[in-house]
Amino acid sequence: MVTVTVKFFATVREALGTRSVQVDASTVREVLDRLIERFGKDFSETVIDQETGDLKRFFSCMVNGRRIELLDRYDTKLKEGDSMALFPPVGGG
Amino acid sequence: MIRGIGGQILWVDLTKGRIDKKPVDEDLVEKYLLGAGFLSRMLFDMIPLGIDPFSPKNVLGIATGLLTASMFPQSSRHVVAGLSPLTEIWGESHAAGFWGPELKLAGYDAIMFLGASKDPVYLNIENDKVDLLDASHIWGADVFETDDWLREKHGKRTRTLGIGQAGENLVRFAAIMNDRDRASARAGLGAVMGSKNVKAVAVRGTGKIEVADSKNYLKQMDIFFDRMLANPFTKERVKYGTTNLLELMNHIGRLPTYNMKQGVFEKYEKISGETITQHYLVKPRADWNCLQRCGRYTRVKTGPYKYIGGSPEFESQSSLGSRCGNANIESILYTHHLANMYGMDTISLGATISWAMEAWDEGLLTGEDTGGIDLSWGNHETIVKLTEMIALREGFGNILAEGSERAAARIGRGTEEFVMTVKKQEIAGQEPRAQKSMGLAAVTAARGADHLYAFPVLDEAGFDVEIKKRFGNEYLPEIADRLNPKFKGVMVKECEDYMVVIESLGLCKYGTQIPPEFYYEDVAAALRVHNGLNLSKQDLKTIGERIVNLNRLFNVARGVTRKDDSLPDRLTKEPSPVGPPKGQVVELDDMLSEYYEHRGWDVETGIPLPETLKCLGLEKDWKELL
Ligand code: SF4
Repeated sequence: MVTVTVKFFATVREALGTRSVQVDASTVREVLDRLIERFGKDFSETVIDQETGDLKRFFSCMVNGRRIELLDRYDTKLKEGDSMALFPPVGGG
Repeated sequence: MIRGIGGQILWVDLTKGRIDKKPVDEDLVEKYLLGAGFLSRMLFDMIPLGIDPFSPKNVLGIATGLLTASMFPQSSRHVVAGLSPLTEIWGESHAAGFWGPELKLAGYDAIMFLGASKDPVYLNIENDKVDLLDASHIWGADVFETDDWLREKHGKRTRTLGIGQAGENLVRFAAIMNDRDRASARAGLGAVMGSKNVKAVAVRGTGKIEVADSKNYLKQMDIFFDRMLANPFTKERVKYGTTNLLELMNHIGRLPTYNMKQGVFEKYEKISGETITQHYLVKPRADWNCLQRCGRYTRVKTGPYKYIGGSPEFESQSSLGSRCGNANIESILYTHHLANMYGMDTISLGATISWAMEAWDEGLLTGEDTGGIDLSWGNHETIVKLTEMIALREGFGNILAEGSERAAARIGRGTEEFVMTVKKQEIAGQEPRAQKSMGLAAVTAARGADHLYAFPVLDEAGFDVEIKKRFGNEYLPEIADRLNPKFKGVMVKECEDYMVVIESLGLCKYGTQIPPEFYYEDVAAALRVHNGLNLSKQDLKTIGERIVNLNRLFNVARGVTRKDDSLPDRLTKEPSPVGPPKGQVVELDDMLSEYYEHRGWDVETGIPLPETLKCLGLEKDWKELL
């Protein structure tokens, strides 16, 4: 298990009332589980699709600026000091 | 008969002071739609080769789309086009608001301005009554004063479009503004309007738009409404507009910073969407029939930057902020307000100032050049001051009013190295080393550097499901990886074809591209019930390709080839120094070759191949050019 920083943005940040937290976990999935434990409904209802248990449509999770879909998705292994980010739907120019 | 349109085109010969009304050519609409496609066809035929953009021979067209003023979500837009004074090639720009719908309700789909007036004039449209009137007393007025005056004179419900001092003074990146703070900003067409001595177009339209299939129209639009409301983007966009893109872009290293030296700004939180929303937001604002409501009003209550008015979106926030190393949010809000007031493109404005700041930082520009103005990174007082000086063409502002590429050519001394343009237009707020598709899109766009012609945002935060829906499995996963150059050629090509269709319909890209809620099938359904046009998905794709190829021919006729489809060396040779794209460059050559292949253009020259033009019915146009 390693310690990673998770940063929250926009409405996710608002729902959780904090900018970032430190979490001990080995994979992205474990981080999400820890966040559900810690923030309860505020987290799961904002971010998690109740049917699939994955992120809601258009929500984005990144590890060191790389989308998890291009890594090992929810099984992506984390290293000590990694920085994770959770974005609600955002994009454009 | 095509329904859902105004039905007439206004031809305004400014030299003769004559106005004619002609019916819309329906055969042309079937091949090019309205809006951008219509203007592409008309201006290709009308603008002679070898003229100066400020010559009376240039033509300024303004057009609404087939779905403008309909009940399709975000059907608020119009397009302006002409020979660009900034790029000297195809110039096109779009804006949302209420002016376009009002024009259609007055019974007109487009206005074509020919020649030039001897004295300042404005066009006043009150349904059937159309007059060219004296504008000498508002020449010199800013955009807001002009709007106030016209609405005082012609009634509070009048909608206005016009130029400020920047357009009058032929600033090469002057905008055409409408509804006070909506801007057709890129390509400098405000200066073309200024060169023609046209200050404004005031419109009052109280007519009705007859739809083709009234029984199914409401049903179909209801479905679109529900889908748009249910889309998870809608809630976020109402809350933050586009301002919270800044946080995402900084996070992925795509935020132009210090004149695009890098894609990460260490002080980004000071200028973030969250900062604007928490401290300055008055309320969100919507354009015609808009559910996304990305527009907003903001206010700075006290101090030198006190104002109330339109809020900057992501592009202005980044160009006047991180790109200039500026972390003073109130100055960004205020400068954006000034740019609207004078009528200028905030992207080229911020990018031109940031070019000068880098040249200053390198010791290539000094107080002797600038008249003593300090151009250190982040000097917000300088940014505000220069904005005014550019619009009024005073002192050093007179040089910057030419845009960064011409300014650098004039000053020389190696400052050319820091110019971040494609075909003389400044690159918008997408640092392409962090998103390769944006690098390609910037060079293939018809109006010079541009993110909106293709708007390839699908790989930005990764819409794998939507990419699969639009492109199939064939190109995944590479196409969805913003750092991977692979398959970006096909992506940009397909996005361009679709986006020019959207610009020909008068729809917003929010809803049709990001979020990617509506696609060809949906707009085809809307065209059936609204306009009575039976166009298949394939028909619409072919129309998109036809428009892109015609825009390319317009430029090829003016000397554009593959060599012009290039990025500054910084972006293709210097590895990005920080953040997630660290070590990346834009692999432009490979992407460009792939793009040309998908387009059916000669890979060596970038010129459309005869067989491609033949399939699109454009072979005659090419022969005429030879
Ligand atoms: S999303 Fe924004 S630009 Fe588009 S129509 Fe709505 S307010 Fe206007």
